[in-house]
Parts: sequence; structure tokens; C-alpha cells
Amino acid sequence: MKKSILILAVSLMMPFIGAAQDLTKYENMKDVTSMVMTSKMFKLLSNIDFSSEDKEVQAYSDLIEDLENIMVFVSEKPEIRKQMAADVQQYLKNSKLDELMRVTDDGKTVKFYSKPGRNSEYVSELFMFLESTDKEEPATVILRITGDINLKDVSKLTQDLKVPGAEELKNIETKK
Amino acid sequence: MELDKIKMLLDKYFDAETTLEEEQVLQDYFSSNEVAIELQEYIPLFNFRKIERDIEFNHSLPKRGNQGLYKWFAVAASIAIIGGLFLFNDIKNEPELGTYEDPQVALQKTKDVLNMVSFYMNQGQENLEYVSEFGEVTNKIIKTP
Repeated sequence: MKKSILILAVSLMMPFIGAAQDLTKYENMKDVTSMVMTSKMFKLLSNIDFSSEDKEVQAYSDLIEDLENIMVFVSEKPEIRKQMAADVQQYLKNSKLDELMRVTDDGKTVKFYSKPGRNSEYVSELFMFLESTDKEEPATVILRITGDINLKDVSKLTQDLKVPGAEELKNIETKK
Repeated sequence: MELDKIKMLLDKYFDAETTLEEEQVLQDYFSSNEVAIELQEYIPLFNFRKIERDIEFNHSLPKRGNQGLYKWFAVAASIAIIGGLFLFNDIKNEPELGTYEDPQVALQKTKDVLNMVSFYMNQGQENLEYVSEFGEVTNKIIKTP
């Protein structure tokens, strides 16, 4: 009797334990490159003076303003990548995300998932899972963005770039 | 003689003036088998007093049966509360700003992330050329913290 109640209590808590583990555990894991940005940072960013004549900068600032959280975890270690794949499966199951699209290209598989937002153009969560089986640089990337995200705006960011986008790419590299 | 004395004590008893010793005498008299016929009507009164005084509680006290069960409810509840605290602490313990303290760096990284997402999204919609080149660059961007 006593045992069964204890078991019941523990089993009731299992989903919470699972959710708590979540994906944040990768943040401080060895061999994982992580990047986390919180709503506080985005608030700070929105106060920065974006030299707003630039249309492109404006596009970014509009997007960033409504973000809540960005998490990126990258790993190249086979064991961790396996674990990541399993955890992502679990995460997707638990948080009931819808698959948005799947892109397979040149040894890379990119999957997009999203959670519906306030209307059809917006999503409240955008989840990207990238697996590269490239022989030289196999890597797994987990990327999760939450907030009020306009998917159209996101896709516009690089849409105009097209080819040749070389200059744009150089800019990104030199700025880092 | 004795009967007179008993009668006198009875009168005193009904006037509520008897001492404890005298009451004991009455008690003894009425529980003996030599009660005078005229006083027999009082036997039940004194017997009743004796019976009432002799009542003892012989049963064992009932145990509070559900106590054990409730104890485990309490244990389960405290586990749940502690677990809950951990859960919410987890969320609160997030670093204030995240990985980057410098807004400029954070801004650039945010842009990079958005670019990457945007890029792969568009890749799914149309076939771009130079895809692999861009992909490599994005990979580099995301790798360096």
C-alpha cells in the first residue's frame, strides 16, 4: 500500500522530471558549443540605436524585438549527437510541435518545427534540428527560438540575398 | 440500635450532611444481605452508586487506522513541492542575459542565427545555387561562440 502510493507519486512526477531536463542540459555540457540569449538581452538590444535608415537593419530589429529566447547547441561528438537526436525526439513529442518543413541537401538534413502563434503568420516557437553527416565535419545543431516570430519576415532576411550573396556573406564573417 | 443508626445516617445522607466515612457505612450496610425490610427500597440506590463506581474501561483504544496512509500522502506532497520548486528554479536560474554580456556581440549572433534559420528555410522553398558554400560559412559562424 505504502509502496504503491510512493510509486504513484513518483510516476505522476515523471513528466515534470522529463520536462525539467529538457534541452537546457546541453548548455554546460562538455563538447557542446552553446549559445543562449534571453528576453532581457533582446530588451537591451531593442534599446540599441539601430541606424534605422538601413532597411535591412530595420528588418532585424523588428524581428528581434519580439523574441523571447534563443538557444543553440552544436556538437560534433558522435555520442552527444546521438543523445541530442534522442532528446529532440522526446522534446518534439512532449511539446507537441508541428513539423514545418524538411530539407535534405548535401549530407545535411534540416528539420523545422513550430508551435502556432497568435495568427497564421506568426509562430510562438521555431525549432530547427540540423544533422550533418558530412565526413569532414559531422555536426548536430539544435536551435530553438521562442517569442512572437513572423515566419515571413524570417524568410525574407535572406531571400533578397540570392546569388551572388558573396558580399553579404563576407560582411557577416568580418563582423564576428 | 444499628437500624436506628442507619436510619439516622440515611436522614443525614438525604440532607447531604454525611461525611465520606458515614457514607461508606451506609454503602456497606446496603450491600450486605441483612438490610431491614423497611429499608430495602434504598438498596438499588446504593447498589447503583457502587456499580457506577466500579465501572472500568477494559477495551483497548481503537487505533487511528488511516494515519499511515496520510503520512505517505504527506511524503508524496512534499516530494511534489520540492520537485516543483526545482522545476521553477530551473527556469529562473537562467543567466540573466544569456551567453553574451555585450549587446553588440549578442546582436551579431542573433542576426547570424536568424540568418541561418532564414537561409535553410528558403532553401526548402527554392533551390539556390552556391548552397553548400553558404552552408559552410553558416556552420563556421555558428560554431565559434
